[in-house]
Amino acid sequence: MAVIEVEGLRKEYRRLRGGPTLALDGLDVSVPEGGVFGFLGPNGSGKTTTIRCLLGLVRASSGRSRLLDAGPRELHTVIGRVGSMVETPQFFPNFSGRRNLELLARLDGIGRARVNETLDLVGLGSSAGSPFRTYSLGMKQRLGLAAALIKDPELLILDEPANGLDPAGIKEIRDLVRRLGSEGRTIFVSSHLLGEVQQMCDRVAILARGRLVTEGPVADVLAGGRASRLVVQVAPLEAALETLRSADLDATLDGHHILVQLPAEDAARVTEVLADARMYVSELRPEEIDLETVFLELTRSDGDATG
Amino acid sequence: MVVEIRRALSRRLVRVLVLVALLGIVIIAIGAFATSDPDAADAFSPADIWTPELDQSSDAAIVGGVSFLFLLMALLGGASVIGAEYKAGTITTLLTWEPRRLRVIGAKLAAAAIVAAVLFLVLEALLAGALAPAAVVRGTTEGADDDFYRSLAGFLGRGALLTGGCAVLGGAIATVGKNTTAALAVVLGYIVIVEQILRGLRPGWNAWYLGENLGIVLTGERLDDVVRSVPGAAAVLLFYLGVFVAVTLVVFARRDVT
Repeated sequence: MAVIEVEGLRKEYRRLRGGPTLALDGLDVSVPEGGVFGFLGPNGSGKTTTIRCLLGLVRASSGRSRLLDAGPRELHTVIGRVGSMVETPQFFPNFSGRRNLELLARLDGIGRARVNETLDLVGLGSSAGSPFRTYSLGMKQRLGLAAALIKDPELLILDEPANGLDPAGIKEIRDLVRRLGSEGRTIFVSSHLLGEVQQMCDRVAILARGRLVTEGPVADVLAGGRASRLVVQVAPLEAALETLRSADLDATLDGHHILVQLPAEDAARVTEVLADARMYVSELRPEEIDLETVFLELTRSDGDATG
Repeated sequence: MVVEIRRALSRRLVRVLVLVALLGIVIIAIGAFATSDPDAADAFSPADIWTPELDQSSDAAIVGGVSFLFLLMALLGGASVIGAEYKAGTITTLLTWEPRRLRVIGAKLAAAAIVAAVLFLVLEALLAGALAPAAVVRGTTEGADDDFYRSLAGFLGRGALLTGGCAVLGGAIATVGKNTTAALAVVLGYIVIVEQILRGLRPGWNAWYLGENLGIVLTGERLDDVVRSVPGAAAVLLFYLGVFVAVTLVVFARRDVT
């Protein structure tokens, strides 16, 4: 079952000046139950607008969005099962973190013990008594996360949860999100920290200009549309390149190494060709593709196509 | 609702307004005590203070003025309760907990009205208590009979309703304008443009101005120059408030929260 379903979602913001702005242009996304789902896209690609539409904060111009099988009008029937954090969380500046959280918790009849437990969980236990206005960006993020977690939700929607956190804080959030995802919950997390998403998520969707560019398990997205390549380190480089090409291998020079279009299981072919020419490889490994590379390629190509 | 009342009472501006009101009460009480002469014909009497006609005596004028001030404070407090949510951005956080917007805004406006009405009653009671020494020691309690207490109860009831209504009005304007300052600007603009300039140009329209209708309902008496009964004035005020609240509900329900 999909816990989040978005079909043909379109959102146009009307402005008093400068004409309307198209934030979502027929977006389709389906988030299956359980695990961590990464929602990626460059600034202005429509990530936060999608989240706002899902949570009923903005009204879609057209299209359909469902959260735990509830449309925007029935959102109140499922909101108790959804924890969310949208952009930098905002609370009353003169109230302490604890008091802010208690006021929200009372809306759902959640007691003080759970408030304290959640504050400890996000590492805010000792500073929960300080006014919110004195909090650093990282502490604000943690309080926002506490507000999202306090309901013990089955679906967690997090918009840039690691924003403003230091490396240790980012790791804590990553570990927490992974743990929550492994408990059977669904975590829908938007982020621009691609390395984090790669480590944290089971599936990803990539957006560009309000449209879905690709979606699927992280491994599939990383491999998607690209032939496997081998990285070859050998000397002399130019002679080795010629040798490989003359053996009908698709080889190109890339800095101080050669890239050969071959799957990892055919690596022996490279050593054979080079060894026959009395050249011996010092390094031979499959090229590692990271999410950042794929992300940049996909979002750039989409931009080229539409721009 | 309870949460919203707690939030309203926690607002710094609400607390400042209450402190200002308390300070005013102390000053009025000291003034009444110091200026009253028990042997004079116009010795201080509570019956002079809470009589219906605002222009009956200078003491009554003070109380009338104070009550109008309470109405303005309620308007400002009501605006602050909602304006602060927009300023702090907490409206987004709140709506991710309770997406039924009419419930959210309804609870906020109702909380503002309840807090304002209760504070009005408490402050008027404190004013009465603060003036008691002046009446007992340096004035007279003559005239404080059953009729007086009935009239007083009516005044307090109408005042509490008006104060609650003003808080709702302030909250409604702040909701549409998305901040407290917008509400203040609208109120000041109304006072200058309608109550001052338009009144000067069109005195015959005075039955429709807020000032007259508020005065009629607060005092429970017809004003000499306005053709409007107390229920009529109450109906006009209710109509104005209803229009504002309806517009607010529509705007709040349809607005994108970004």
